[in-house]
Amino acid sequence: MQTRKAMALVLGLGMIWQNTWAVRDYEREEVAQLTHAPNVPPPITRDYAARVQVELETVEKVGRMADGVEYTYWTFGGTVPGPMIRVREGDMVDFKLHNHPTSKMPHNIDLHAVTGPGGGAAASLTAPGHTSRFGFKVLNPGLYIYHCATAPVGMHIANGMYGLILVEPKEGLPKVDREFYVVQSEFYTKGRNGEPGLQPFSMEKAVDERPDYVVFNGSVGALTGDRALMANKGEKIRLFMGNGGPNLVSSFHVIGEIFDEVYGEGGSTINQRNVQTTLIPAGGAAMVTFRAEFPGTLVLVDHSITRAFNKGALGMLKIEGKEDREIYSGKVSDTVYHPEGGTLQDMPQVAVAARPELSPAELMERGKEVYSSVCLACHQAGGKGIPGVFPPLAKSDWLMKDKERSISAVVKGLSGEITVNGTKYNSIMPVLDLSDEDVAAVLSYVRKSFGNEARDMVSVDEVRNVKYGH
Amino acid sequence: MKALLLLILTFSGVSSELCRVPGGEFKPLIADRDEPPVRVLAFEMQCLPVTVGEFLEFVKEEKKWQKGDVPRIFADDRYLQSWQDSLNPNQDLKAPVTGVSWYAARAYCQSLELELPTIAQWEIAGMASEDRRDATTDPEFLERILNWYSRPTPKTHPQVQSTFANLYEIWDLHGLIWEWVLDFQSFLVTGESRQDAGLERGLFCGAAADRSVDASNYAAFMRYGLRSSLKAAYTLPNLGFRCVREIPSQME
Repeated sequence: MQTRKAMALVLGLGMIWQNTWAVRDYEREEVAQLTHAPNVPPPITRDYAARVQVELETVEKVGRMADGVEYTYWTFGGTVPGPMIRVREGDMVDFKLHNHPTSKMPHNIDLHAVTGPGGGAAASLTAPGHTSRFGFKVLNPGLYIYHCATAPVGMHIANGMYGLILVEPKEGLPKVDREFYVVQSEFYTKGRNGEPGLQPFSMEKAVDERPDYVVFNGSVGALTGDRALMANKGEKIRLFMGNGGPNLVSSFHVIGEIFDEVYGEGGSTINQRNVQTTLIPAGGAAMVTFRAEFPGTLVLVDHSITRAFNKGALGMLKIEGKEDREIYSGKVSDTVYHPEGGTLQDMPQVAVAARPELSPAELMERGKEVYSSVCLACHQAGGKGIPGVFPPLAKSDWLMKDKERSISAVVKGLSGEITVNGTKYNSIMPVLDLSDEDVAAVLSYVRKSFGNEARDMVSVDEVRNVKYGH
Repeated sequence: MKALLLLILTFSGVSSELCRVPGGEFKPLIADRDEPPVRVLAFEMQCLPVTVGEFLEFVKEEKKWQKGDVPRIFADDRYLQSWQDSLNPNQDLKAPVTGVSWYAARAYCQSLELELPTIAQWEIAGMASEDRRDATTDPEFLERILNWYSRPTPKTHPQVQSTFANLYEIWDLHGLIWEWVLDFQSFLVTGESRQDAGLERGLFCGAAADRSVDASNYAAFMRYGLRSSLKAAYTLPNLGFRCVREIPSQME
């Protein structure tokens, strides 16, 4: 009985304390609107500081890392990255961290926007099935990473526990037409890149900093195909770009764009304009803005480039609208270059036809060279492609089904949705600037390699028929 | 009464059977370099984690530990959450009991004149693989443990005796559930695990991981991390326990 009385007293005192804390200075309260990547919470329009409630739940769950590859992610809010939080400088944040009862691990949160011990980590260590509550005032505007900081910290981050919190300056950020939320990070799996099945975390690779996956928004292909970011020509775009790490620094670049403004390292001022590639430290962020001047697909990459083309750090931003030839002309002509001098001339098609025909063996040899120098960058060694981005040529049903269609893809280019071996692709194959002979050579080679079993070659005549005939 | 209960349990052939663990020296995961290792006397540990069936027998005898009767200060409101009601576990009786607080686990052990293991005792038993007394340097062993840690808790737990038995014939120390230890609060991974360096008691100094005995032993870090997130009244859907007994002859 005495125990109960003591308990009641403690509870009572606790409630008085909590209430005192609750009312101080912040008469207006609101619940933060959180969004899952690539969506960004709407800009804050109020001109006063508020008391903002934020709730995040930590969940451990199996998800897709790449086609055929799964991983047990540890997450904030069930996704990697966790939800994006947007508050205003001077706000008081009332933070609740719930750890789902099925979690194996305790978790906590360190928000880099917090001034205080461990960025909140010291106050938020939460056992499975429990909730921690703590409060902080956001003093410094900027874009900040948050992450789990429970021992072993490297493993909690490596398994996917990070996201972004934006502290808008009091005056707000300049208006743009579209905002996106992207976080780069890397994963250390026991199996090599592409090895199928549920891949366990490799402590050894993490310590050695040898990731097999470097990705945007948690998995290979999270921003490609159907899931590509979309915008319209002429729109001003802002990317909130974070780097969860745990270890690698990102050389963030958008192929086909120049950043008009960079808020370096996620700070509150524009510290550079007209930037090609910006560094984003592990556990850091950057805000970049640019205007989408030309329609087409812009490609987001970590310009440490094998990470993009071999490990997954590749996303797409599709800009729709009418082409403006003033900004980008496309290819206007193809002429023969005489280094010894003389004048430039149009490519003489007749001259090519006059050259002696290559033997089938020579054609295959030439095809292999062309493949290595032209096709390999996208379609990859062995024609295996990049899942979700560049379709495979190896054992490709699309390639083998229709010879003329394949020739057309090379000589006329290809865009729009196609299905290759059961997977949908929606990107662009450019018109390749190859001689008719080289087209015949490379198609003959590809159709007889990488597990494809064409009986016939592709002749120069067939190429010409497609190129000029129709 | 207690002796009788022990007798019944022993005759029913369940896991109150004890396995002997030879004593030894235990280096805490995190310690000053010149700190001497902890000396652990030989002890006996239950060969299996305590099962749902065994805990059911216990609460039948001890009404105050039944779901619904236990005061909130001794167990939070998830206590035996998966049980249908006080005396109906509604699950496999051979599964390990989970959702019990430190107080409840300790009361169970004491009812059998046993005690919860200390961190040192648990870790000494837990570092043994099938064929080695200290397998903490065996990457394959560590990886096996780590793989279990990185999987979410299943909806229902498999039965005890379903993972592996170590050198001392003790089953399921890794791969089934977390287990309570007597002195879980004495360990000093704070909520802010990277700043344990700042603790005044100086147990964890310098660059955090640099001073740990083995920074690559992620598995041990995780056990310590979990323990430090607990309070004695907490109950977790994957946290159970087993009991130990010191060997009397050594006590003198």
